[in-house]
Amino acid sequence: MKLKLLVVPSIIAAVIIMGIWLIYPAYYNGTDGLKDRYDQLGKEKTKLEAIQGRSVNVDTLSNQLDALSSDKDALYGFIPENIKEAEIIKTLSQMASDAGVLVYNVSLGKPAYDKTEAPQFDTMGATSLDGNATDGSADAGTVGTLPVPKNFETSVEISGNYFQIKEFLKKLNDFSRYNEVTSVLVVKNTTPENGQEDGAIPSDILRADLKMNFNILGKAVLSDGTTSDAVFSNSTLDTKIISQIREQRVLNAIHPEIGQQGRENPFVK
Amino acid sequence: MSTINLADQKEVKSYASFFNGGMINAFLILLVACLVYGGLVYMNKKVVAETQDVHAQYMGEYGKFLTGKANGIIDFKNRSVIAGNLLDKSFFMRDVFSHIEASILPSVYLSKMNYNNKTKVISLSCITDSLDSESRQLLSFQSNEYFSSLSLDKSAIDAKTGLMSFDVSLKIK
Repeated sequence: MKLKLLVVPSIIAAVIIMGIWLIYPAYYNGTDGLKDRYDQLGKEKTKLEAIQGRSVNVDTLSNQLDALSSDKDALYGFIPENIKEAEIIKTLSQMASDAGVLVYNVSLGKPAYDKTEAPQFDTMGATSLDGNATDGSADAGTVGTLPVPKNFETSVEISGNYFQIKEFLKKLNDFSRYNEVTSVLVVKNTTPENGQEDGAIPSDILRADLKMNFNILGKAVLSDGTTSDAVFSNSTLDTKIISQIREQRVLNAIHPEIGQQGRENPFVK
Repeated sequence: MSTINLADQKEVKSYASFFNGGMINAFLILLVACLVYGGLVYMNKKVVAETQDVHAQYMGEYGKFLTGKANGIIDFKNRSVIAGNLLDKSFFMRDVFSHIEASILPSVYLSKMNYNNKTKVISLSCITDSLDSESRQLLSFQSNEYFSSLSLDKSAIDAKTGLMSFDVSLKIK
């Protein structure tokens, strides 16, 4: 009889303890409870649907990009991937010739990041199943980047009259490759040009030292931080930048040709 | 001393069953609790397996996405955004020249011009024939709204030529 009196409360106590220590944590404990697992499953399904949706958009966007064909060259010429020294020299030379100025010095610097434009870092949502999935919070770490332009300074020293120098600068502004004039020094020329005797310098001849920045931009490669970029949310590619470049920059780069190659004795004039 | 039994029926000793209603209910509750727990554990494993399956699908799609045509698109977009920003902040030297041309007086000419895009300051070395022309020239620069400020850095008369030379710094708005 005494045992009977103890069994029922003991069972009830055991059920309560089981509920607290086993059943509820098995349902929800913040990491691996059933509810937590369902939440993780929901997140994984959402991510899968999102990536499938982005993949469909990528196919559409890629077709639009392919259809642009040579039009996109305007953009890739405006900020190229490589320095293209030969193209710069040739184009500057052609500009000088068209403007009527004499170029007597051109130098190109090495590409470097502008101090004010440090590379930008994006964050990503982790894809682990350990319950530590994140959704792009700062704690997720810096794992994805998009390249930023690297500038390189180019110096050009020219000589000509005021209008010729102005014309040269205008052509530089119209150049279809991005360039930013950082400094212009124009002084009255005191150095005789070729074929002129001392004191025979025309009074209207000026010397201009121009410094300008060209830039390059490395190819963007997808990383964990950039797969959720907004561009993949749309199925229409925004291409208005091409017309903007063409409106403002009408002077195309000139591609030099190598011509005849090879000589028997490279030291003979 | 003798006793008298007045009962008309034989006394039957009553032994209540160990498993009475309360006890059964208690065991049933315990059984249900065990079943619930077992169900939770079973469902948990099932959901984990399903999650791993979905995750594997996701990683497959993700891998294809990373190595596919999306790279060309993100590159085009990145280039477009940067090009747009650069076009927006384009600065044209022809504006500098046109405003200086518009402000220079006929009696003044330049011997040197230096423009710094970082500071947006134009430094001019001017030559004229009199202090009166210099003052009018300064007034002319000040009246041009393209320039936000003016500072006279140096002003001197050349003893040989008798001409006034003065250096001016103009800050672009």
